[in-house]
Amino acid sequence: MAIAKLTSLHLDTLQEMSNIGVGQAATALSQLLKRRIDIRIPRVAVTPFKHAADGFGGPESPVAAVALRMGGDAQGHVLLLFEPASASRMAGVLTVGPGQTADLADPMAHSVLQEVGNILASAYLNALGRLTGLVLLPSIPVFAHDMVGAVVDTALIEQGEAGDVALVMETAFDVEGEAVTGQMLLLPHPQSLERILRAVGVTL
Amino acid sequence: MKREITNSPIAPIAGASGKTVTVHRVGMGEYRVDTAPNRLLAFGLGSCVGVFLYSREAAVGGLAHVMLPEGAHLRRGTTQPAKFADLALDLMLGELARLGADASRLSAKIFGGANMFPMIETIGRAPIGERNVAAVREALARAGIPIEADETGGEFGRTVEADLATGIATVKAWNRPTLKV
Repeated sequence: MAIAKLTSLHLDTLQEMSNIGVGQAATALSQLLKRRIDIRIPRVAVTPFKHAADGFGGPESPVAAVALRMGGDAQGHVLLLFEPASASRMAGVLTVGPGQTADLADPMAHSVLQEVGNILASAYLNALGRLTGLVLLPSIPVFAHDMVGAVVDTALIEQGEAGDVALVMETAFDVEGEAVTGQMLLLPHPQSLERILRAVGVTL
Repeated sequence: MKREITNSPIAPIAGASGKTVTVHRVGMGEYRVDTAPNRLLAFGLGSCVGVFLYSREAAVGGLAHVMLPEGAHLRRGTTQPAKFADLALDLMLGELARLGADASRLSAKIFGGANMFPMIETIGRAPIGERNVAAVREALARAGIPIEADETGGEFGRTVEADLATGIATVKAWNRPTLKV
């Protein structure tokens, strides 16, 4: 379906799905880190492609990102974005100890962040799967430390094959006591949107 | 130089001659042509490809921020034809001709087309960055425009600023030396 034709009911439904999905992801992260995770209000944005990467501090801002492909009954991408300092602290907590940082050039830090991405995306897609009755499978996670525009554009391009606007489901979260903030993004393929919405009884 | 990110034009800056230089941002799926001494800027090209066409003689140029290779079946109903490699080139050539550029004197520089997530983007077909670069090269060859600089591929993003006063493009990448081509 065309993203441009989504109504506020569709967007509200997707926002609630984000909320439930990221809620589960936060629980998983909380168990991993033994810290409370605060989730901010999910954002579901329909924007022209030219502005799609602007909501993340500007397209040139460096991010530490973990990308996974969503497969199974619906296609898309899951992205986990951290400011580099946050990513360094997140990897530090898990490899060294509380309040510590890790060097983002170290492959060990990449592995740790990929695993964090894997845990978060799996929990998110599991929750969405239970909600919709669809089988949603995460691919292996891939780490990139680069400009946010370059990271997001690859995931957005597939949406460009089906329309002229982008749909970004984004939720930010904070790790209490560690000054770690991250953003979780789901970029569903437009051809899968109808399936996702229908599965929860929302007609188009 | 730190510049605020806004819609195009970004911000007037003082040029070498004291004349005001406007930097136009070219977003994903857009293109823009202009004349010297202005500049054209595409931020954060990942798998997207920046196509810079320039005529030294006419001191005009254009930059396209291409998202997708040509795909006739995808074009129906699009409001944004410049997201496709071949259509972006056609549109730029038309506007450059109106600005007085002789098509036979144009040269091209191309940027981006990286494979940002190599492990997960190759399922079934070539990665999108690679397909974009191939489509851009093909469209340029069909139009008979030589490629003077080719900074494509790899696994990292690029920001490109094209200076229409000189035809030089500045390529920035995170944690890598800045190139001028």
